[in-house]
Amino acid sequence: MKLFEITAQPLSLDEVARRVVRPDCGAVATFAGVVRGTTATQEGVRGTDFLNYEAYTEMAEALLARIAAEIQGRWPKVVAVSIVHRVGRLEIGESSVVIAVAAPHRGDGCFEACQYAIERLKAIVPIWKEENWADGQVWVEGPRQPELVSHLGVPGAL
Amino acid sequence: MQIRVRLFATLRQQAGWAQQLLDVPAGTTLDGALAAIDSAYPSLAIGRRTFYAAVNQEYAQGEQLLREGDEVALFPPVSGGGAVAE
Repeated sequence: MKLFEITAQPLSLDEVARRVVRPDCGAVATFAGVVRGTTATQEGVRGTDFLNYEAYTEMAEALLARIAAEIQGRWPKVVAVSIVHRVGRLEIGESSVVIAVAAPHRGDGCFEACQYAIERLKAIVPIWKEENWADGQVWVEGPRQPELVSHLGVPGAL
Repeated sequence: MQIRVRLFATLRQQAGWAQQLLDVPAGTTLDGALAAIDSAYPSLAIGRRTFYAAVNQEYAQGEQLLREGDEVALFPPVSGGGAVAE
């Protein structure tokens, strides 16, 4: 059973939680990222039809494992981490990502580690989403992480 | 020597291909490969956009030396996840 996985299959919160259950763990915190059908913007509410996710699978799975290692450095009592991200077409309400963190007790960092995992995932893991609505589509770009940017020396590329 | 170039998301769509083999001189750095990609595929406009580069699945900086068979991936800033405010 993989702890860090990019998959085209629908995600189950419970199934990912079971990947981290251990005999010495009494706490499992989970996070699900779900496709939002409506987004409040300054111009009003925008509707989404569906999302299309694409990943650089080999690199993404390696970076998910690295995020888990970072978590175990920051919260040493955390025993197990699983992060699973879906790719392909996702409908409103479906989970795009599920994170589960297990620790002996609830105070051992599992809640904080869940949040850390999703923030790091969105910053460094090579996964992209294409948002589709009634009259168009656009690839959503996350905020730039200056230390990761490559460019050919064109001013303003950052 | 030969390297494998992979594109993702907007870059892949814009180029119309996901991977190509590219011949570059031995001793080429990532910056050198990017310049070669720029001249081979000017429609990508990689000199005028923000992107990340990875060599063999690791984020890489321009001075990194490439070796035969390396995989160079170019892609836009990432946007995984789905449920936190953007």
